[in-house]
Amino acid sequence: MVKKTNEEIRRRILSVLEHNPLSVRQISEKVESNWSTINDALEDLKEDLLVKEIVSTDKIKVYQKVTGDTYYNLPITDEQRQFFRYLFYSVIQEYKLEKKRLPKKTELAKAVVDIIHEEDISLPTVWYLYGQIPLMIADPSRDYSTSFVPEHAKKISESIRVIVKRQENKNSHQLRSEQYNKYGNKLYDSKERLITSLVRGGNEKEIIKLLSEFYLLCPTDKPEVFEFAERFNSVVGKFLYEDSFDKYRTQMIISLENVWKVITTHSLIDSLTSQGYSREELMQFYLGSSLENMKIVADECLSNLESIYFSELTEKDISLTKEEAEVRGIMSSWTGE
Amino acid sequence: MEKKNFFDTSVVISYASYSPVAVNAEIVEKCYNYIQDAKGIFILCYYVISEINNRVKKRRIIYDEVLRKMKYPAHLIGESEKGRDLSNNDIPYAKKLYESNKNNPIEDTSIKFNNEQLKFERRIYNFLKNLVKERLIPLNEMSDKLVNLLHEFITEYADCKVLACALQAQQSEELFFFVTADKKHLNPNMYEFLKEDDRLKDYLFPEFINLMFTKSKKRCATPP
Repeated sequence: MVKKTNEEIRRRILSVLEHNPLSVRQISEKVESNWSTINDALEDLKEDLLVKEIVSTDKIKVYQKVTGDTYYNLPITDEQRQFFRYLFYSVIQEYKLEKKRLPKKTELAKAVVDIIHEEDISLPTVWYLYGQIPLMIADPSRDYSTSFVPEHAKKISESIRVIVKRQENKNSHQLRSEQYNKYGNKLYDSKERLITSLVRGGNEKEIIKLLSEFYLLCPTDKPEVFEFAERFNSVVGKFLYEDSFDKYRTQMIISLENVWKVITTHSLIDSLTSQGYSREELMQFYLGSSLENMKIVADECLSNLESIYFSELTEKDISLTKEEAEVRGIMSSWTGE
Repeated sequence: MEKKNFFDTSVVISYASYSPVAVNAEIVEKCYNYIQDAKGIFILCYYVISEINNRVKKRRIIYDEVLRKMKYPAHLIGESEKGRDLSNNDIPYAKKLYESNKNNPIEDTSIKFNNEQLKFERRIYNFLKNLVKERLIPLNEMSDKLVNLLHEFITEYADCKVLACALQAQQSEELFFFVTADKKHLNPNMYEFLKEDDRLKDYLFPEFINLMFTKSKKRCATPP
């Protein structure tokens, strides 16, 4: 058997790690080199920031390929990567040609999502913080030039022209809202309107309505997510009866953004699992620890807001409306025993 | 000096349920009047505080279950993951709320439920912040031995815990009132019976007031 060179071993390790993280033993089996050789090569690759150790115990070490070009380093195939590059490159070129400028990040991401859907291209897109995005990070300042040319390139180019033209004179907020409506995601649209109202100093009645709408749209099938939404709805609602609502708008906005991170990380996981990614692997290797951190931060923000509310609470008695009194009448004898 | 008042969870919940513009249950009126008129200091044990918080959450779940049923009519109230925290006593309230709101727009109902709950919680938090002066018996200091002993007489474990805390607190306090609104387990006869048990003979018992067994006192409703 011909002895493999170091370079060959490194290349093969990166190749076998393309789809999912593996232990040293698994890599050793796939590359067909002994454990010690593979372990040394992995240490070198780690120093070169091409892989990272994601599990490290006395008994097992698991490595993941670092690509740096997808969200959370999520794996995509080389073919998908080249296709994404082709689309990013083409949209950037179209912008340069027609608008004499580079697209903004939102413009690039939203245009590529539309192309993928309208041309029925098999590439992963996911719902995350600001709507639907390509799984590969859209960065207009990067060089995406590629020799890859897909089938139906001409048709794709025509589609790109139409889509880029459609984006004319729209700001990021408009592009996002348009996308939420186009793909029927009411929750994202509702959050966008709620945050806008909080930032712009919307009045009490408007905020109550938007808050209620947002709360009703939050996914109830995931209790841990819903609980955050419920706490946010409850504490902001309570502040609306105090005189100090405006004083704490910033804390409310920060809380909403952090609750939103938890909600949309679940959306991201749902998007990925619907496209064949394993939920277990996603949680174990890619998103689990980040999600835990997000939950801690969201919880801290809400606890902070709840304790501010408690200290700001005034003794004034607030009467029920006629409709609320009917509800109270039904609940009157309830004690929860 | 006026005797202090050590409250059971249900008294606080009923007090917070009172509204001058709603049709109040008799016990709600009694609890509200008692708290409004009481002169002595208010005491709670930490167990009751945690129970109050649990019940506030449970009350929200009732509304969530009704809204879910309005959103998805096939949903069975009490069958969602959170809904399973509701007891058989809670479900009829959710069903009644659903029946009286099912033909209304869900958006309006959601706002109405939310506002009603916020005002209910507001009274609870005001009670905790401004009226309760002493918080006693941290959870880790609750006597398991005493709880288990009381459990031989009282089936409901939560009631045993509250009474155990009241008894523990009473041993280092001037005689206070132990105020409850429990119909089933903590009735005056049972309380007298407990005092007779040999193992509890050395305990000083607080003065027992169960508002379920006191006479109603009509008062003029305060203006909204």
